Amino acid sequence: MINSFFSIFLLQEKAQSWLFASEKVNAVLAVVLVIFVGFISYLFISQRKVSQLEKQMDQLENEK
Amino acid sequence: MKKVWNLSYKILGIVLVGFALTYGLFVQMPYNPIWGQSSRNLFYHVPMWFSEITLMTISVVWSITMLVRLDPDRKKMDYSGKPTIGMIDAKARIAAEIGVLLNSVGLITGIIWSRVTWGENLPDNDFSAWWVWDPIQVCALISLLIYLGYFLLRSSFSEPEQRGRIAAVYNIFAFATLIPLFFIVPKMLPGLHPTAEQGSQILARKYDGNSYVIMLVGIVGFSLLGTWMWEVRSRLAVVKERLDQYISDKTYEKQLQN
Repeated sequence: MINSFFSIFLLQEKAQSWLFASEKVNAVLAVVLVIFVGFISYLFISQRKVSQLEKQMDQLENEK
Repeated sequence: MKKVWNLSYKILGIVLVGFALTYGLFVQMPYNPIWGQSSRNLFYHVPMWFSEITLMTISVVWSITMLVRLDPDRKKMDYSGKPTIGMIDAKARIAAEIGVLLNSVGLITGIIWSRVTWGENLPDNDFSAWWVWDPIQVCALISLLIYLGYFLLRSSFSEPEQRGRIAAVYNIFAFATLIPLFFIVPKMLPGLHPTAEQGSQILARKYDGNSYVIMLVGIVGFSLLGTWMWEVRSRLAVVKERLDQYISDKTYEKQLQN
């Protein structure tokens, strides 16, 4: 039972090893973060532009 | 207070999704001979469905709101900020559009996941390498088609009020189908997903508490980001609606003067 308990950890290490040993995970993380930061920036920029449009629209309606 | 809430839910969404993306890649996963490292997809694939349901809930709430407010006195533009039928309809439509986008991303991540696990030994030209007719996979496709029907229905009406009214009724029925499609049918049939009886028994042994926490973080985070996307797009639609109304009012005034 003790052997089987430790064998689980050995198998987990084996599974983890290829990804971390080759440092592929860093490349994956870099790509994911670039996409994520780009997406968040896009949302912030769009939100700011929409706020400006709303202000312009308020001005137009008040002039009326 | 509204500004604080508006900012805080966005920051919370960014933090939670950022956490799920980074920690999900580095957390020690329980060993699974079939899934291998692809089991990390659990943190990104599953949240898509819950985010979709969140967006579809927003959509159906606005559809119900529209049907309730289909009152002749409320149809005219009110510059004091009261939303018109067109604005409410746009909010329901945009939420459904983002929901469909999330559904598509969920389907694609699921197809890729099954390709590199259960279908690993099959050739690329074998259809079953990409599509395994799993109950929840089929149900997800059906829900996608139902919502594509919603957009098709919308495009077949040119009169805005008629379009909004009929689309809202359809949207309520479409949302009602999500409950059996995602929560009832997959539990009744055997399949690869953890919601199926066999799958949940396997998962109970293979996943630890850590994984569930990251998955939950991902679910909340992606739902908040989806809501943010909806907020930006619906605000833009409202501005467009106001501008259209402004132009038509101005044109009407000019006609009266002439």
